[in-house]
Amino acid sequence: MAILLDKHSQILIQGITERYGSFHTRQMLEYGTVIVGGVTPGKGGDWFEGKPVFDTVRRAMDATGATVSLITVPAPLAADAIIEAADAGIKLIICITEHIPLHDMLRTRELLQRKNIRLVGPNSPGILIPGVTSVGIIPPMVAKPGNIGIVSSSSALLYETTLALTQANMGQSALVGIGSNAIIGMNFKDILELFENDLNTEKIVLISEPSQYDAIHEVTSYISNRMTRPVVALIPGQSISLIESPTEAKYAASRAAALTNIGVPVARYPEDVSELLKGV
Amino acid sequence: MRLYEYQMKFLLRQAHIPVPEGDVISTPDDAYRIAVELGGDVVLKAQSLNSSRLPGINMKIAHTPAGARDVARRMLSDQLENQPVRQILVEAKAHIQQAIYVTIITDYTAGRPLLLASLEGGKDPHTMTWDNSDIFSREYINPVTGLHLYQANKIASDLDFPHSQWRSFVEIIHHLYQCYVHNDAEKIEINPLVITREGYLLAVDGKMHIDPHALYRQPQLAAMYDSSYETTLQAQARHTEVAYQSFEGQIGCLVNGAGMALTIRDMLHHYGEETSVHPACIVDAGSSASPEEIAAGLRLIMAHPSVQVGLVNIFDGLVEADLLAGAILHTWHELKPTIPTVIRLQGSGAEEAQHMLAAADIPNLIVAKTLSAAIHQAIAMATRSYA
Repeated sequence: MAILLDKHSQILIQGITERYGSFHTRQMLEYGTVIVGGVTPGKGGDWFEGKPVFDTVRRAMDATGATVSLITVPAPLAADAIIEAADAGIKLIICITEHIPLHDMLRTRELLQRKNIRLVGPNSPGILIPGVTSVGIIPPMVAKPGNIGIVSSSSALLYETTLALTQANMGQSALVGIGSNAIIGMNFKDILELFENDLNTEKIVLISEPSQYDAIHEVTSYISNRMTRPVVALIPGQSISLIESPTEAKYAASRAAALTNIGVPVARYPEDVSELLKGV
Repeated sequence: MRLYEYQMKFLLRQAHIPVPEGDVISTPDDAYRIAVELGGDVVLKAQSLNSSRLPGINMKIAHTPAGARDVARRMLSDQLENQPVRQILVEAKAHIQQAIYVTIITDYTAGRPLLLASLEGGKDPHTMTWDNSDIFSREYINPVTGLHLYQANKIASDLDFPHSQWRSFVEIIHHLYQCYVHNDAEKIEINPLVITREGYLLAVDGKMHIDPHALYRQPQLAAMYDSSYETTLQAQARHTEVAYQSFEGQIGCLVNGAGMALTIRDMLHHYGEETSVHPACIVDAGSSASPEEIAAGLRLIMAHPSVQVGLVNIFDGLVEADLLAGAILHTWHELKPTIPTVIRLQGSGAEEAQHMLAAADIPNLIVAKTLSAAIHQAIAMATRSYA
């Protein structure tokens, strides 16, 4: 049993007929993901890549028994799509949409917190359980099954690091992109907690873009007080000059220092992560 | 997106929050005209998106219309933060009895708007830290239900607000929250909100930041964006929705995602320092880059004046690499750049993409397979052209 998803997870795609929907639906199906249908209001009754399209999430759930939804609808409609999925009873919502307005996300997160619902994203590349299932847009070729759990707020660095680990013959238990937006659902600590309790995960890689938003102290205190599994971090921006980009340089330096202080080895480049993992 | 003070005051007035009478001007004669209309002492405030209020420098008082004209003339020939002053807000001077600080910020960690107020208004907020609970009364707002009346009353009570202005203050807090929500603001700060000698409340100065991703539904605010200080390349980047940073080195970089933008800078710093190779610009086409964004990014790096070598590293999840290769080749044939460029495309369709780029047989377009190979190749070429 991996984290968040397993091979039986039944997935619904909200926005299945959107611009990149068909390619990714096909790619996920190829990987073995159980996609049971899609939702596009006004297109109920159609078929897409051999899967039924419904007008609403509720109808799709009634017909298919889906418990997970992937949201790919454009930013102006994305918050509404998240709330629709939550109201219909979806338990895990993964949102890859970029640029959702701040106020939409403030209201959406507040509504979700009252229910027992997990949101990954927005602006997340999704979740990939190597060899099992993929929900999102993480290129499956980067990964191979193994016991390293990776959580990242940067999509490109998640792919880059995973590929480097795969090439170093270090497989992964799960890849989770939490997104780099100001207001997100599950954060670093939430995912670390899942990895800590996952029997398939032995070591964890945390990849964090310098951001003013997430609370690094919550993360470091969880790692040092609660975690038994070793963690390695990748923090980009550590060589950047304070004069050129003071904000990024400061966040990168303070984040790297906070992690180093609790004994977490911190890499500067994706290709250095595998060496650090060998040492923990 | 930051707003000018005069733009913010326009929005405050729209939200029924009282502001001093006045107008924004761009010539000394208009300053004279407004001062005549207002009568009495006027305050002239040079408008800038970045600098704080500095009495005597970017804020001056004039006692007569002729004095206002002189001050305006001097301000308009001055610079603020290395940029020419183009607009001045001319306002009736308020007689301040008490200065108050009141703001709504977005607490990203809590995921809620946070209302903060203090009786120590008028100070530079950079010297006040908002988590210093000694100075501020604070109240989190539930973004679904909005601000409750009792919360505004609680803030007034915490501040021991004068009873004669209590009701006006509570109303202003209510309107301020409406203003924050209706304008998709990230932050709205009134500093100071003053109680005048005559007993009225007046928003004398402030700052407001708007969520750039909400501008599609805020045409009034989108029209307030000041593009006059942008370079052509900055304007181009904004229109195509890519992030663009310009430096003084030799390598023009196109990447996807903020994390990758930082990594490229780290790696260029690490491997290029010895030979004095640095980035000329970094274009971030977004974590999921579309063919249109890649094409726009390529145009930007080729147009940058100090670029001697191009470096494109895209590891995209959303779009197949071969589609991006197609966009790159299409743009390349259109621009016909002479600048040597290293291109590394990874992700689904990467093999096909590398094949397409190689088959195009363009002498100054070099295909790299890994991130570090791309970096080393770009540095080597920049060093060669440098020597």
